[in-house]
Amino acid sequence: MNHIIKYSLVLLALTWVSCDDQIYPTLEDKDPILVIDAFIDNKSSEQQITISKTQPYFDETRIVGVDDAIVQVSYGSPATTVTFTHTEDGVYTYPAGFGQVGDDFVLTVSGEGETFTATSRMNRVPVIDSVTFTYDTFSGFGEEEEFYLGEFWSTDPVGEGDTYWIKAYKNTEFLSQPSEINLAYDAAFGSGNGDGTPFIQPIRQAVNSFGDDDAEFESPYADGDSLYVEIYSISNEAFEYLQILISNTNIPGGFGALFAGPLSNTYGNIQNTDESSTEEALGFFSVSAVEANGKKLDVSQVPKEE
Amino acid sequence: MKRLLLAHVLTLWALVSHAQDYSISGYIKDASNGETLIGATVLIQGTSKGVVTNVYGFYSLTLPADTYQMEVRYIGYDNTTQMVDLTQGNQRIDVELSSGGQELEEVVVSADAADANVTDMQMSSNKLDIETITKIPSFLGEADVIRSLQLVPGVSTVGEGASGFNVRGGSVGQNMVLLDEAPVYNSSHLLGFFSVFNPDAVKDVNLIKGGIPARYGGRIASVLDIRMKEGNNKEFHGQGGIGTIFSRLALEGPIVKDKASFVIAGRRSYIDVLARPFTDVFDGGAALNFYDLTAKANYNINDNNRVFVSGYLGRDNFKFDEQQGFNWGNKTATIRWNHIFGDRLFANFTTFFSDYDYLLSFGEDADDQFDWNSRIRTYDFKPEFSFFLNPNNELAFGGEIAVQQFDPANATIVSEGQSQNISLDPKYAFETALYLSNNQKIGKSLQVEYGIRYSNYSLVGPGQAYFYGDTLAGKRKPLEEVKEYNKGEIIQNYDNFEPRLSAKYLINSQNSIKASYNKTTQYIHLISNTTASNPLDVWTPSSNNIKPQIGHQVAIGWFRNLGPENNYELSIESYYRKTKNQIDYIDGAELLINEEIEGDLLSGDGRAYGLELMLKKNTGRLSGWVSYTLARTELQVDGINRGEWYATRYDQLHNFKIAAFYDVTRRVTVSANFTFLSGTPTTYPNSKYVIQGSYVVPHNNNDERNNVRIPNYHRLDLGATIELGKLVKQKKFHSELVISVYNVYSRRNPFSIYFTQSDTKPQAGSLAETQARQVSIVGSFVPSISYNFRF
Repeated sequence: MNHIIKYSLVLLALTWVSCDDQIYPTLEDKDPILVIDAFIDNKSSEQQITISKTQPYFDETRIVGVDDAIVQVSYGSPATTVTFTHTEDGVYTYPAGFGQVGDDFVLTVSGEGETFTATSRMNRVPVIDSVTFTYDTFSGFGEEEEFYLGEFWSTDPVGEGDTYWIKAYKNTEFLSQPSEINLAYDAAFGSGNGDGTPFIQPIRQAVNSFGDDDAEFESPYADGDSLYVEIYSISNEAFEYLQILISNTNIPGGFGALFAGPLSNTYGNIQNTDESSTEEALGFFSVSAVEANGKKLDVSQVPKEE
Repeated sequence: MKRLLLAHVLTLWALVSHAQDYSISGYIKDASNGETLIGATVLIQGTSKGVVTNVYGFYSLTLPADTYQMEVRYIGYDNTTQMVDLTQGNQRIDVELSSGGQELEEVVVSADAADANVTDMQMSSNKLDIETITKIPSFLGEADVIRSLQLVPGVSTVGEGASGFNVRGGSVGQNMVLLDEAPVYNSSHLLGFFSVFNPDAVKDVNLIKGGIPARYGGRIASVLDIRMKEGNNKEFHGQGGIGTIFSRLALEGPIVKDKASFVIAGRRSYIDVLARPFTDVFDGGAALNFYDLTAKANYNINDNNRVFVSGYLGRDNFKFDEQQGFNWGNKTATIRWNHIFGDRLFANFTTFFSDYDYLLSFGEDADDQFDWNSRIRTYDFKPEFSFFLNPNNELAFGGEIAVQQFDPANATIVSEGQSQNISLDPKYAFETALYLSNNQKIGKSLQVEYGIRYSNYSLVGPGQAYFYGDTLAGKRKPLEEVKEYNKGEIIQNYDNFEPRLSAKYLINSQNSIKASYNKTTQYIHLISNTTASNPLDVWTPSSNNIKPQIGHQVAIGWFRNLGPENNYELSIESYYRKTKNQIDYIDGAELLINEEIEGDLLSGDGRAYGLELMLKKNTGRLSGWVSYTLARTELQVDGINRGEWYATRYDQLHNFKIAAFYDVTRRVTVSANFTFLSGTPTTYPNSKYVIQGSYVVPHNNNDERNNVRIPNYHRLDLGATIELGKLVKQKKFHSELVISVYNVYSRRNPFSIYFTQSDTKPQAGSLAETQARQVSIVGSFVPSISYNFRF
């Protein structure tokens, strides 16, 4: 992690002349499109599926929910069907997660004369052996900074093609920036890059938030902070979807703009059952098995020698 | 086609056996340092017969037995005339020209404006001499070959800091950049701020944008032919400078007087050295620097044999600490042998090696490590001949054999002490070419150069062919089968005939019309999906999935010189370019360390057209040029922009530049350049939605690519060169101060516009704020000062 900070400083030295300003262009107004946001899992907590409509890019109102859809998920063999019920603003809920690893799931959403469907499978997920903290220091521009880094430990099972979404919570608050989406293909970043080994260090340590770019340097964790990590198994298709989502939401500013890819649309796995219909739906349906572990930082327990 | 060519060659040979003709031949050189002069004109007074020296400074003219007055001309040099007696047999005449009024001692630069603009066969080309390049006010005061070229028509770039350059709508990877015949795969240092060519070692820079002669092949947009100095073969000299970014030193001199010479030039940046007192970032092995070393030696064995050895080595280093960081660089080595058979057949045999590689290392200890290097390497042999058949016909023929090795990834990943090799297999390609062309004068006014290049390419084993199934346009293609090939087996073969045609019609001594057509083929591809090309981009060979890129271009132009001494040059050119098998990428394409990369590539067509205008003033205290390009560059790829044509990221409708130089006094020259570029296209969303309560996803309902233009770009740079010390004529040591200000009026020129959600966490129940942001790479004025010397 140390090197990332140094790297940023070096880049800073390079880019003292570059700047990044907010502008206010006028964008075209387009008709809203249906969005189905359906990531569910096998946790015992409440499951949510959100049905909404796209809205103008600079619109600051709340999500435009669709409240009269029929939302059902069937799974297993023989198939069991559960119906999600609308609460408010397009959020449909079911009291707890369901199904088990290996089950196939089908989502069906009907409304406004159209029916949309998508499928997913619940894949295996490895346990998290432990969550740890390490102490490190970093000095730049004459100031010595000390900090604590969180890390989780887990090993990808043997067999290529497992994909995961690792979520981290600091003091129960989800690290929710697009830049903090932590995906793994087997134990590493991409297909064929590492199978059956412990997750690689950049993935193990992507559970640390360094705060805003502009703010003062801040240790990701301080004495008494907790770190809770969850590994969600996801399908390869969901992995690809989230990668495209990252590239369209986590766009490098400043000097990084040189190496940005073109903006594209983020298309998911939701299909209209009527192939002749021109109505489409954005979003994704994904089912995960989840493993979790956590720890509270007690600095007296963290060794401080280099 | 082949038969026709053969018949033609035989006819030409028949013409050779014309009785009582003799040849004058030799080299034209600079009297002060022995450097050969490329493109010098040799004229026979009282006739319309003449010839231009080739890239090695050689000429040959065959004439009926008689005595002649031979005149030699070259821009910036005094004309010489001498008597030639061709009644007794062939004559070898090497001419040394003295440079005319270009010395600093003269207030008025009385460069002898030649009429090359009008009379030269080659259209669509821009030559920049090093003196001009060093006068242009530059970023951080460093004279730069590629940034200077961006001031001529038809050349554009994605934006400041982007590496490479775009020619007539071609992408960065479609330019053949040659340094002493060897291709340079990445022409930039520090991303795109500086080019890898050290101006102290460069002799001639020639960019060919259209009407590409048959001797060049392998890329479809342009050829940038850079020739290194040979080194002064009369006396020892040196030059160098201390700048804001680099320090430079170049030495040259004779090894054996008039027979052998050398030049060696090096540069190193010292941002890290300068920064060290202010930060300890660079302690513990961290580094940020780049350097290059260019060297060349040549030996005149005798009148008919000359050998050259040249090499380049450059590297950019970016290290976080002792073990971590990345670096990249080019290496080239060239050996050439010039041999003159008889008096009319000039041969050049080149063999070169070119290598581009990069290396990345991450991980703080051996238990958690990632190492990756990637490389492209070429070995090449190129015999080339020019046959000076008679004053009206100059034949060029030759060939090329190249072996290419691609190492997309040699990589290992170590996690908790468990190591895995994730390398991809190397790929091998074999490329050969044959060409034949004739440059023929027909009557007094018409000159045509017609030729053909035949190129043949094979992807060879050991290796694999990947077969993919069909899918929706724009989606990742599923891999269906992998077929293994043994060493030497041909995995895929392509060949192409590439006709090349240029014509010039001289209306009068100050007016000409030129036209050209060329077909070009490119078998290797630069895979890059970012706004600017970056050092980690990988070159990949054509295969059963990736077809060779094909380019066709037609161009027509009017060339006019004005003023009593051709003081002004005007050129107006128009081109249309059509390309096939252009590479684009699926959304979410994995381009690095991906065995199945070909499943992520899309293929489409390109078209580009434009009008280029250039007015140049060569003489007087005020000199310079105005360049304007009106252009359009588009791609059509199934799976992008609903399959409809879209503008490329470097498409600029208007591209206007002025470069001006003014000699204020004998000591002081000031210079200015101004650039205006239409905004380049980018993609704007029109709506948004939220995924998982956190991620605000932008969406374009029409599925468009590059649907909006970013604001226009304009910038003024100023520079001044001040000669230090006494102004004495025979001074040995010269020194000067170069002061420059880049982006004088501190305009925040847009590089790109992007859309993003705010970093700050939204209130519960409300949406993350969305905003549009504009990036300027150089958002303020950048002053610099450097000190240069020569002795």
